[in-house]
Amino acid sequence: MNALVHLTHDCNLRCPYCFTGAKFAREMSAETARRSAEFVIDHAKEHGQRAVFSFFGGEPMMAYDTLREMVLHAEKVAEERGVHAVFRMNTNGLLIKEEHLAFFEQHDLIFILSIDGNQAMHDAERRTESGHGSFEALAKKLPRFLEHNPGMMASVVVTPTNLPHTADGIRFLFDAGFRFLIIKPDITQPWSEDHVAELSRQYELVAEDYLARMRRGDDLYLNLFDDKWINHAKGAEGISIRCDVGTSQISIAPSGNIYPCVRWVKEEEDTVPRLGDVWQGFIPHKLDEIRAASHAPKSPCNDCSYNDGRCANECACEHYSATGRIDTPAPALCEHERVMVPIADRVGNTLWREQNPIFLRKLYPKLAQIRTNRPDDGAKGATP
Amino acid sequence: MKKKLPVLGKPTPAASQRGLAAKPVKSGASRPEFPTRGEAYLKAGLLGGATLLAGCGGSAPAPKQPAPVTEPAPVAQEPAPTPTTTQQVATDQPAVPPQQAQQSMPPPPPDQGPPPPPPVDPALLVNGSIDGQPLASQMPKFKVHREGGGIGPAEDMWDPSEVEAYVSWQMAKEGKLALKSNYQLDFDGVQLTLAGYDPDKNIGYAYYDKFGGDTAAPKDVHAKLDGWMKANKAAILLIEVGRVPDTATMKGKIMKFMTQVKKHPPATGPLSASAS
Repeated sequence: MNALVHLTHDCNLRCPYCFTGAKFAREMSAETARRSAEFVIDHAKEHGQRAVFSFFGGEPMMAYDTLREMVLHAEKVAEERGVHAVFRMNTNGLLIKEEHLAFFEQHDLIFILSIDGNQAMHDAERRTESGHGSFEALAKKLPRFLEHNPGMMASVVVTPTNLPHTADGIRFLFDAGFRFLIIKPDITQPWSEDHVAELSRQYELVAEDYLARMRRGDDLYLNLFDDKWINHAKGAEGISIRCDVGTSQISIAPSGNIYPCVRWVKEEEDTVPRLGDVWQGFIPHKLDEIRAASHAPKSPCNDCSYNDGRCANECACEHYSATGRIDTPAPALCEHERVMVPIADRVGNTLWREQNPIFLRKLYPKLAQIRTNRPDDGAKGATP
Repeated sequence: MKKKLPVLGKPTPAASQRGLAAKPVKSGASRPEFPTRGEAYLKAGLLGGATLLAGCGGSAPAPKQPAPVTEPAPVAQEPAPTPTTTQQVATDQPAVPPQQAQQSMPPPPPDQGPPPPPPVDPALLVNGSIDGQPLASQMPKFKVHREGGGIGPAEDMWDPSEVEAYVSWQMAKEGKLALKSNYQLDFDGVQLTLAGYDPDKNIGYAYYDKFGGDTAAPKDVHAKLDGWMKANKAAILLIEVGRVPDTATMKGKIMKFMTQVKKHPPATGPLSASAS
């Protein structure tokens, strides 16, 4: 089970695009944190799963003491129950100090960093309460973060405001040493036709850069391309794994209430589906409702050629945030995918024709393994 | 009929996306030229019971009309892939289903174990070996792949045996060691299963991988290993993989350790009568 644990509703930034609702100082209590850990571990044990705790917010580092206590308690309970506990965190990184890194190291807590590219792109949205950009403070920490975890993942949000800097921003992150990037458009913003045209221009530049990096042997991950390639390569299997809302993934609010996903943790609003709480457990019919709705065919995607795993139209809570319906994607999402799918196909086709070794290894690991194991490969200089 | 969900009670963000629409792509849709895994593996002989491995993937031209995954062509009708020196199956013979092949093969002679490994030229072992075999010319690699996801973080996954293979290769090469895998060490009150160990040079490593379900080595084991190292009895590197393993970091650890070992090598010969 992957439990996204919202330790607080508070944050040290005020990014306009934030989807986690109003920022107010309500932290998860120590008692709720302990109970949440036990609830997740028990559920994981019952279903033969690992217990994955992904700390979320607000900014989870604003509730570091609770985080620390919860990790220690979860480790102890997991050991007693014979469950493997794993810790993750989404953070803006600004509050992380050396002592925190030592704790993360000791407890294998891996964090994903929210950073929107270079300074122009990042500061366009990610600002403090007083309106100042947060890039400068974060940039100072990047070398140490990347030293701490060379595989650190960056999470980037693209909006109509920071859109013009997208290609430069992504290039900056790769140059800075990031190897794993997740780019997500905020599809709840007022996108226009002009924005979509600019998006296309920016993604063409991103494609050019990514192609060049793969050609020179950089082993990177950029979800805009890799997810589409891998989902195509996986075939039908690739379609079913992308949204596990209400099944193997839940969000736990500071109050202990359980919601299907992060976007729904808005306790100041009474319009979102609550699935229960960590004391009473799941409300069965609510869980069934959300599962049925999230697995229902998306409208109007059924007869779309891209609805074969290449289109990122599976995020139930994203649809709900944009259109009020789980089964209806936002126009902006559809436009985004109609721009991105052909670009990803084209770059993938080029790499396939060139028999790019990194592309082949990513998509067809069994073939790559055979070629690696062949003893004459090295002598002939064959691709790995 | 669409199922009604909780009402937001205000215009949705989608209403502000003027001029944009969610509309299916039906004609002129882009298509990948690269095959699915099912198609690629079928062509490579990895699916459908065939055993031919070569002539696929890295050296294959892009298929113009990939075979449908749902109705794969019978393997026997597939053109035979290009033979290589490592191939063990004659390519001029049509592939036969495994069951049929098994029936047509003569039964193995009774009470006969696996054939002994071919003799290895000792000259090939001087630069390092693993379980009596010379090191592969190409460094083994391990792959970290991602699974899961959604809006939460996806999981990084790896195969601990691949990481071990990488560490053994690096260590054997760097120290010209004759490593034995899964070596059971019983010395000085400590019992350890070492992933790789040279019992003559008394150099090796223990591998703990949380992903593989290992718990980290206890602190008293750490202390013992430090003590052996200082006393030049044995040099054992503890590799504890908790977060995503990374070749550069792993190699750095090995190099640092081997540099230290080269400066103060442990005494050679049997460590103790109780070491097996």
